[in-house]
Amino acid sequence: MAALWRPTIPTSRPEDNSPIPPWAGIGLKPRHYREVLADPGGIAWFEVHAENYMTAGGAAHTWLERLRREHPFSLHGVGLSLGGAEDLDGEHLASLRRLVERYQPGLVSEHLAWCRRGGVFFNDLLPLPLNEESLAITRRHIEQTQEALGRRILVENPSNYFTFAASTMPETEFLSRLCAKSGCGLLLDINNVHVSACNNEFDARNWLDAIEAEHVGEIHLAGHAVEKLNGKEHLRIDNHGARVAEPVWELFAHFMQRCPPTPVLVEWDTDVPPLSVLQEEAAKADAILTQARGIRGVHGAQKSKIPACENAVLQ
Amino acid sequence: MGRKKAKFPPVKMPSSNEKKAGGGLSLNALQARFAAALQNGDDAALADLGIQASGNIDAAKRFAVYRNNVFHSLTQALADAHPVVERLVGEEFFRALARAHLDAGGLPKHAPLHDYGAGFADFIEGFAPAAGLPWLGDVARVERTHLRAWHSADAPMNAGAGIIPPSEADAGNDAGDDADPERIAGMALLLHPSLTMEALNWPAVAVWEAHQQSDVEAGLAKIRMRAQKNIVVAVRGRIAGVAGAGEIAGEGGENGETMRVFSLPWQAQGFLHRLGAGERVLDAAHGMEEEILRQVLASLAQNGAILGLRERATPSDSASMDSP
Repeated sequence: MAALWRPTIPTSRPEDNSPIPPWAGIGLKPRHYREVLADPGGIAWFEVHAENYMTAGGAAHTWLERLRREHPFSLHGVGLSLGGAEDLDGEHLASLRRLVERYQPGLVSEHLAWCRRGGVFFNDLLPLPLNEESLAITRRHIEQTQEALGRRILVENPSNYFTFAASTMPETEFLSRLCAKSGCGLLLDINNVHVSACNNEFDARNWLDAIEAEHVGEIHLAGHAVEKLNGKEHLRIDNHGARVAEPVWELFAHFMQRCPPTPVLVEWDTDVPPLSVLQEEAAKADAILTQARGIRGVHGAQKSKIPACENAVLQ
Repeated sequence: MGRKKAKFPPVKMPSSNEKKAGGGLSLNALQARFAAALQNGDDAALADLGIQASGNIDAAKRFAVYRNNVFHSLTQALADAHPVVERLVGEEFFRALARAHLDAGGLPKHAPLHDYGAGFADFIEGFAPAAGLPWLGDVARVERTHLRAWHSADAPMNAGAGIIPPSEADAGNDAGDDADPERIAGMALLLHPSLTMEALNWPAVAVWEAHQQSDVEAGLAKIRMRAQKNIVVAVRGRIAGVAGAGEIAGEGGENGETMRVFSLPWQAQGFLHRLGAGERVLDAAHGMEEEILRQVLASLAQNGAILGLRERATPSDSASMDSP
């Protein structure tokens, strides 16, 4: 199946073939549609969740039709269960294909996660062990998806709250091999890297340094919650319900020093704030992109200083 | 803070002969156990998963993140679909209701959550703490009916060959009379594809309507809450022309969309089913009292549920009806 697909995968970076500009966009929620269509306020592009548009009709489609006419947009799926041991849900994949055919988004993305089992959908991105078996299964599902959609997809790294004894390779290696074998790109979520690093006590900068920038087709930034447990202990929860945390901005700036022009998205899904707050966050991302691009070639090799997680001392 | 950290999370090397918990499970077996541990809330089931926890935060606390995510996101989805039920019982009671619904197996079957909670009304009626509000399930039915119509297929821009728009069939009459039974008795009706209905035992549409007004309490005070068979009907309309025209307040007002939610006598349920199957008005009425028939037709017309009329079944209709 991969052999059939591979010749048509663009070998270049995905944005070469897509209208998504390599600047900051925002995740678009229904409450902001009217405002955004009246005045996008400097936002370069928008991303919507595919599942919210898997309806026969209705206002959601009226809005998306208008958005598509006026702005570059990306379709971000949260329910395909690429990392599930069970077969992909054919009905869900067909719904995704219909959306992609109808709206022709600039990018299509999904997650390295599973969310469905035994006819039940859990509505959360569940973790999988990183080993040869899960790599083969996820690869097959990505290839099936790309085959069905007739295009390359991007796959997002998860937020992790623990690791599995059954894992046999680092996450960066898993992602790299997944991209190389299936032809998919990486949707690099830097907040997820930070959350995982803090929760599992590894160095987020080392993780980012192990990523091949040519695999990255899009970057996500988002806020997270800090859940206080007993005493000084915290877990960072990827709830997309706050401004991007300072360490995440710094990791982003660090990575952009060596990353070619790539679209960046600010996500906010819980307690969605006024549009102006999202515009401020996008402007901040654009400022970092401008700086990174301006200084490349002069200070390209220079590393910025990345502070440790605030709760680095977990034990 | 100056402490040396591992470059990557600890991993089990393939060469290791050590059989760690979870290390020997296939992905399928591991996910089966993970799903069971999510659903049954039993921390003992976690031991099989081979969860590796750094620091002092144990596996159960880490796994609880997923349990919480599932519960909170699905409670939010139920609340989004049932804002009136939530307001009537309060947030705390609603969360308990959602928890019980989830524990009774109320997990979604599909990733799109538009139809999640389709059995919520039935569940509410069996939920003992809500027994004092016997009409609450019907309020959930009204909200579900509204939501189904909201996400349903759009009406065709052109009703099709052989279809007479209601306005032409009604030439020379006042708008309110355009569904006069004498005029249309021998015709079939083309109903709006978004038309959705459900049977009720309480005046729950009035409860729903009261919540669409600014003074909810005043609206509720006018309702005589006693059992009465009726049906709720929801139809989604679209103001023709530029999107954004014809906005009304509330969820239904976005982008020129309008939602009509109304109550009809219980006899209208069978009538609408038969009309939807292509029967002519007189056949579909099936012995309904004329007064009720007039009332139902007028209400359907006023609420934009009738897209057009036709003299007889079209060839394509009869073909599809005759084919085995």
